[in-house]
Amino acid sequence: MSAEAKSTSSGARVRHAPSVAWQRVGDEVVVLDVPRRTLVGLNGTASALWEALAAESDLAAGASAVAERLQQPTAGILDEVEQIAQALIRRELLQVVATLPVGTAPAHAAAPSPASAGEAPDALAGILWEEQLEACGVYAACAKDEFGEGGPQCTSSPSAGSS
Amino acid sequence: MSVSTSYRIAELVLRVEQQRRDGVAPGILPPAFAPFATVVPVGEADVTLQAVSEPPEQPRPDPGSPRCETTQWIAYRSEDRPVFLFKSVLPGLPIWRSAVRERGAARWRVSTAPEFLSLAGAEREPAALAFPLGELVFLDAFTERGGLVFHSCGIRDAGEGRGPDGQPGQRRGMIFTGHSGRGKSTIGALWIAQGATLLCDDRIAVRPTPEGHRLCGTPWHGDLRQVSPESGPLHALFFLEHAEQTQIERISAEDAQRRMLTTVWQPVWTGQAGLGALWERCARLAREVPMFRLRFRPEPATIDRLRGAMAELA
Repeated sequence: MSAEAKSTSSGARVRHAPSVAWQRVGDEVVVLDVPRRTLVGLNGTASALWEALAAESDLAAGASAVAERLQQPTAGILDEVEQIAQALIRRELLQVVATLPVGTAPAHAAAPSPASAGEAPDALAGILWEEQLEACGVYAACAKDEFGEGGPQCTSSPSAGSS
Repeated sequence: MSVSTSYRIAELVLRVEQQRRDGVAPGILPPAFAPFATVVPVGEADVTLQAVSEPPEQPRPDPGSPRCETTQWIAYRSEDRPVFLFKSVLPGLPIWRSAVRERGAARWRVSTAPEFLSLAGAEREPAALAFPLGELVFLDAFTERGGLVFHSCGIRDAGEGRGPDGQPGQRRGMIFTGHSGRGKSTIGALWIAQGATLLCDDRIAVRPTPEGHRLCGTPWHGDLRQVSPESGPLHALFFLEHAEQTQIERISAEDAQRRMLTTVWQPVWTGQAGLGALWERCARLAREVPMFRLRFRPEPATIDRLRGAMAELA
């Protein structure tokens, strides 16, 4: 388990992982997970939470901001916010900066394990969709022009080294 | 001694200064680069690459630097400048080349391992702009200057008839974007058969100007080898899908913006600052240029339908 995947509670301080970029697009916040080159679309509550955590914050403050935005009582959304936070931490989009002292975390804030490869996005609260980006600088042109596989432009392809 | 060559791609001039080694033939690029070759006075290039034979640099990443690794390259930031490392499977040579941008300058040092030629059995020096370095450096420089590069096919239709002023009809510029397998080369071939100019079938650059967005050809093609350095006004962008029947559906700017995030090339090494600005430009493009979902059957009639849609926009 990563250090960031320790138990979360409303007292935990969290922040966006440094390796992400994000943007609001209509009703959704879309997050780019740079190391995995994956776009992640968040639902309304998760989007509001994400924006509330744009500056490092504790989850309780984040939940209050979400409640205000959604015009709901904080107590009514706290569980959902904590589930979303855990999901985003497991997905390594959020980082835990500091946690409550051992034994003070609520019982429902179970320690999450890192998301496993191939796990369905809908298994993670707050995540609507994920899409893998194609990578520039990695495409099939090496095999498509008269230089052919292994041409000078393909020197780093796994099957060739050179010329 | 070094040899200098320059290429103008989407109005961006890349100049290469390649060190020559005795007895080693200089690198050459695919023929698709030839139409982009240009001559510019020293000091007037937008980006300069100095290619030398020396052990690749591997500067330490900045703490928290976005780091991205593909099958072919690794990108990160060091001292707040981009670094690209190029991977190989040659024994004892995990990194065969590096490209490190100088701080605060549009100048790159491209270091190629001296033992690369013997290990790889190569007969000539790899060109400095050899794939994929040239594309990555172009993406870095072009997006930093406000442009966008789409995984797409771009065409300029032949101008039809004459306008009220007696001048030839306007040539419509269109982009067809989508992941691999969505039909970029297929639609490009259909347009060629109908007399249009294909700018490129896999990478199209978009440049904002005070008069509107312009689409520009690049040398990084797909199945179709035809490329053009031409540019022209961009009139519409289509998100491609294969289908049994051709359907053209106008979509909202918001929908288009979301779709663009997966087909615009992202300079992931620029982090939130660079990507946020790039995504804002996508939003502007979606607001200013008509956007469509194109489900198409690969037949000539599809081009007639597209021309009809463009006529309705006029």
